[in-house]
Amino acid sequence: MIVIAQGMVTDAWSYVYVSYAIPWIFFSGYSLYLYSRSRENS
Amino acid sequence: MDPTTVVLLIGLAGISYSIAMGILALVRGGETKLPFAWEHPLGLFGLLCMIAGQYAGLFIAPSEKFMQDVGRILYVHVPAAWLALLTFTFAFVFALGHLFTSKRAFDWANEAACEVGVLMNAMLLLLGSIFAKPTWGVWWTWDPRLTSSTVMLLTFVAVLLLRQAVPDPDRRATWSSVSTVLAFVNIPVTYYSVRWWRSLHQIQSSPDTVAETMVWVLRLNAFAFLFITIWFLARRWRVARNFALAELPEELPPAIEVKA
Repeated sequence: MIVIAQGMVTDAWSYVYVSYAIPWIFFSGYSLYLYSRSRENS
Repeated sequence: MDPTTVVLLIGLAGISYSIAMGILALVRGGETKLPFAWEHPLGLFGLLCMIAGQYAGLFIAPSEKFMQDVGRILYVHVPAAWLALLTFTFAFVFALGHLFTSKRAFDWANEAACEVGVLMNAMLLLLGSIFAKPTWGVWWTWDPRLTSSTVMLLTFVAVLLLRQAVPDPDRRATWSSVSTVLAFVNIPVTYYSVRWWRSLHQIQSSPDTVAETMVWVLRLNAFAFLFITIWFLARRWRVARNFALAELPEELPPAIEVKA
């Protein structure tokens, strides 16, 4: 584990920010999909 | 009040609300008999929890000892994994429900759970890949946990494709229930893969092995994902129900007595 940590890239925060954005992208995209599907046969 | 207690109360409130609405639906004889779209308050609550959880994950939780700030990815990666496994377990229960009762509502729930599970599973693999690069040095490796998670995604995508391929509603419901049960076989394999084949992916942690300052942040994000997932399931169930009702043949006109 320590060996892995020593080899870590320095721009750690960029990975963190992208990871935190992904749920927003997935959830908002799926919400839009559900909204469009619900209007088809409402 | 300490954050751990607050988060547990948040979780208790959301889960109690969901169970209460489920009981109310059963008492009234169907989900459609509820006076309002019960899932919207829960979805909004989940959204607020996600904002708070991400803020806590980014700015309040301490850096992980070995991974440092990269370790903050676990606050979104682990809840995605839990919810993918949980949603596929729901799908399994709904599939069994349909096979034993032949009620269409179970089939609509199975369709919803398979689709939402695929969403969470795809997100899990993407987040895992981003987590792997700075910690393991590679975007992807054929580790048993990663491989079984991929198989999990592909099998449930296959269930959804099967649904598309079968036009007859009754046959589609039965076939997708059976295929969901078959796909579920891989869920325990995925969960225990890190214990059965010790490899690159770490084994499951527990609150005893993780600092309290990290546990409540993880739980808050997990509850956020849970409430949003329940919102997705309820909305997708309504879509499946509307499509199924639209598929039904029109009622025949009333019979006319013909006198000889």
